[in-house]
Amino acid sequence: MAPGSPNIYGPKQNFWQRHYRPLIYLLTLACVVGGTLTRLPLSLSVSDATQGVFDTLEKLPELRAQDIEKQQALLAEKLEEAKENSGPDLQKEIAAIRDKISRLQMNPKGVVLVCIDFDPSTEAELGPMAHAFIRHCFSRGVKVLINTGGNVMSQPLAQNIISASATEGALMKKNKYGFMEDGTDYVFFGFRPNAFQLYLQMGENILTAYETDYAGHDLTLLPIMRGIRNFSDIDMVFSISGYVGSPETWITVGNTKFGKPVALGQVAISASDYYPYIQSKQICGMLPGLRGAAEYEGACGSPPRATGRMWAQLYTHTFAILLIIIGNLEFFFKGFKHRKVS
Amino acid sequence: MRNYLPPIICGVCGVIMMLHFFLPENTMLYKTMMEWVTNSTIVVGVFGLFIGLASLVHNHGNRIARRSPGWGYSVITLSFTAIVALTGIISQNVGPSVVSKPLDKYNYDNRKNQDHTLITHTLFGYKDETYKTNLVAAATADAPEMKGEEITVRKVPLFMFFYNYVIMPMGATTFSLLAFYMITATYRAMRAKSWEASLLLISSIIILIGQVPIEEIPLIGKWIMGHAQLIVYMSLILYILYAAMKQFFSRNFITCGILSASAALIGVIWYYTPANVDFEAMKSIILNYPNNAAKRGILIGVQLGSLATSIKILSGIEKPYMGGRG
Amino acid sequence: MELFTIKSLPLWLQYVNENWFDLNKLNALIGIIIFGSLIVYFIRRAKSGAYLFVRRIPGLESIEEALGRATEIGRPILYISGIGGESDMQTIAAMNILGNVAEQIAHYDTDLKVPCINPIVMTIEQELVKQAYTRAGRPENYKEDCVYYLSDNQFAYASAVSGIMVREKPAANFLLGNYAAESLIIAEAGASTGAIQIAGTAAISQIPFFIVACDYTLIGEELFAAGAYVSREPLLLGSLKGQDIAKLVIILIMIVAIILATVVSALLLKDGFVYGLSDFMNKIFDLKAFK
Repeated sequence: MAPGSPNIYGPKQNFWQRHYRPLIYLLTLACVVGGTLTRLPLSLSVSDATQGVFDTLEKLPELRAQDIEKQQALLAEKLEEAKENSGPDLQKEIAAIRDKISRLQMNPKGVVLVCIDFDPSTEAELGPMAHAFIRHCFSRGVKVLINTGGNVMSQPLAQNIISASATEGALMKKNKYGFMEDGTDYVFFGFRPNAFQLYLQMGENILTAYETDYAGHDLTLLPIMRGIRNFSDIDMVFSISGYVGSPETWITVGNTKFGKPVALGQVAISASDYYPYIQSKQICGMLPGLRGAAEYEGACGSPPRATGRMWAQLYTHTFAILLIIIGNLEFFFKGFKHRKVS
Repeated sequence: MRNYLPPIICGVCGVIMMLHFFLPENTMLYKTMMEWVTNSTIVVGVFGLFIGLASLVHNHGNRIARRSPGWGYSVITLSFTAIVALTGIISQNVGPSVVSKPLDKYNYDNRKNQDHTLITHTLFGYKDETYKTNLVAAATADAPEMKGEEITVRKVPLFMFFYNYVIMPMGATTFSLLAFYMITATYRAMRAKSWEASLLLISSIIILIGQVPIEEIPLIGKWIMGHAQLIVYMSLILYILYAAMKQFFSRNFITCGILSASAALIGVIWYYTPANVDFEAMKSIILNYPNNAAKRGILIGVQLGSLATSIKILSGIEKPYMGGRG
Repeated sequence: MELFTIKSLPLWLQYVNENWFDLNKLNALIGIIIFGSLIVYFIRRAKSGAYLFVRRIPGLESIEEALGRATEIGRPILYISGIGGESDMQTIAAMNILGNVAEQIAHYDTDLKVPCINPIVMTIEQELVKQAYTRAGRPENYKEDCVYYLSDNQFAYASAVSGIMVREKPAANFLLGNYAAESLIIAEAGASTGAIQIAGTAAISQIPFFIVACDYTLIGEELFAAGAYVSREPLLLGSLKGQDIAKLVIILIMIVAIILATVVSALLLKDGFVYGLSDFMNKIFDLKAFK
């Protein structure tokens, strides 16, 4: 593009070349409005990245059972050692392992940490995946810890999502998985600044990172926190982020440091950046944009928030493809015309 | 003192953080350092907020005082900064009432055991969000007792009112501008001007088609995807023949011959390839292989650049906090 | 296969591992030492007067053209250092370039506007620009209000910057640093005013938008090289060279590792020298080599 030149066509232009921008904007608007008004079901195939997230959540009870087994084996080993030479350090270790086993046994279906780290601008893509994932957790009896990342704007949004997902269950007359209680089935920690250090602190003790939940209740008094002390008591991390850098933080802390499966929920623009992490198994799966949210809703049977919005995306993508074809035809025929004249 | 104290502080803090990385995690020193670093950065971050607020007030205050062009906007900015800050501080119980009304239950055809209820938030009795599908209408017949049931959930604090009805729509609106800009950028930029641009064009079309189920478009979707192979191969052959013709007119007969032969070869491949073109599989291949390779290359370069910049700052070669060079 | 086990080490090393130094991160320390040594070596070479070749980067060559154009037209220059915080490497790289650009602007006596998204970055940049004007011998031309804070919300910032571009019509826009979704909004707003735009980011997903909407784009590590490129200081050039050589070393290791891994999987090797070497190459980059 020539420096400082806003028009790609030069001095002589026809109607389309003079007014292509507003025309394209109007047609895009028509596609989006048409998509919003289309109320037909949409069937989507589930990609491997989305399936990875779904399968990991379904496998959580298994992961937890394996963890308990490992700890019990370690306890047996330490008890054998204690028979030969019992010292205060060994006794402390044995007590710590026993404590850990009892904490793990309190939540046999698993515990998930959901990091809601997006603001209203990306809510259209990421909100539905947060809803779908939290509902999936509730339907499987998985305990949910929710926090926000580095931006304070995520906090009210997370509050809206959690209250919608939790109270949807409460208002159903015959709900499948019971009333979701704050403090028992889930807890929302709220926002704290300095996310990276906070996540590292959670590896040591969540109660030093967060003393109260969002509503100001003391975390030590909440039933859900009896079985959760630090990262070793969490089975999976799901980071839904619209910000650059936040997923890398979770991969570094959650997977590399603490060895937990990390799943990501990303906007479509950033999703392609994280496919290398799926290949290297640093993340177990990813929900890429609105399509990923729609696939996940279909897989776990959530209300079709994202699936409904896919129609707008479908029409707009088709329009974009048409524009590319038209643009290239225009480019080719301009080349023919130019040669004919010369 | 002013010249050498900041680099010393920077270097010492950097070395401390580096040592912290290498400390074993179960040691007291590691935990103490962790707590100290977390608390310090929280405190500095909060002070940073005050600096920002002071700068905002100073900047807009000056504009108002001097009656610079657009000073009215500065009045609005400062007033709303004060109003929203105050609403965040005052009691959570001050705000409008919000009534939640559960919509009709609906069942999916293939998941009859799962019941779902959607809640709409209404403000002063007006519905501001509804959601119905054909499945909802069918499900209403199953559970008529749930229809129209009103339940008051809670009072919404005034701060949340601003967030839900001002900040959220404005943020979403600004982000939605991107869709329009991207479409015009796509139209302007996606031209097959060179072979690299053609490669970009072809891969972007494959990903665009693979991302959405075009066969679901009413009336024409199935026809388009049914003839996708025809469209794709025909376009490729026509493009290559066009390039061959360009070479012919430029009297490059050998290149013209090679291109014509390539077009013929593609025709032969077309004859033998199966009828269905799986764009989703092609999209996965593009995303998982060439995309990953390129991203990894750039990532490694960027991380090395970051590492070099960190070393330069820690060793005092670069001092951005002191105006570039000390 | 484990590289080593902790229990196989001598007792004093086990003590060190538990209390002073996590041996799993030994490879990271060795990497830092090697990398740092390369940088120090090339810095010394640069200081001793050796010529270090750096390839031409069109975006950086055009900075002077952009500044000259702005001075001729008499319109201001807009410099945006992205949405990252003060600890973001891209923001630091952008600030390095700002120092050099501000010094040249001070000579030309053109208006400079630097709207910031982060208050701490704003204070650093205020100091930076002031120092640049002082170095250029024009401290009296420095305006306190040229570096200011807008908002820390991404899209509020993008809207404000677009508004500045449309109202004040800067002749040259520098969009250098960490960007997210607002990159296209800002770049398109600038393109619509006819300004010359130089962009640079290491955020890979935003690079296509900058390429489409801007005149010159610095991709990935060109942003980090820019400080050295623009100033041509031996210290900075030396570190750039060291960084490049480190990259070359990593590429060579990767090629060897790929060849070994291919041979192992093609021949289905389970033991032997080649298998052992391949496994060793896999393990040396693992942060949990010691179990």
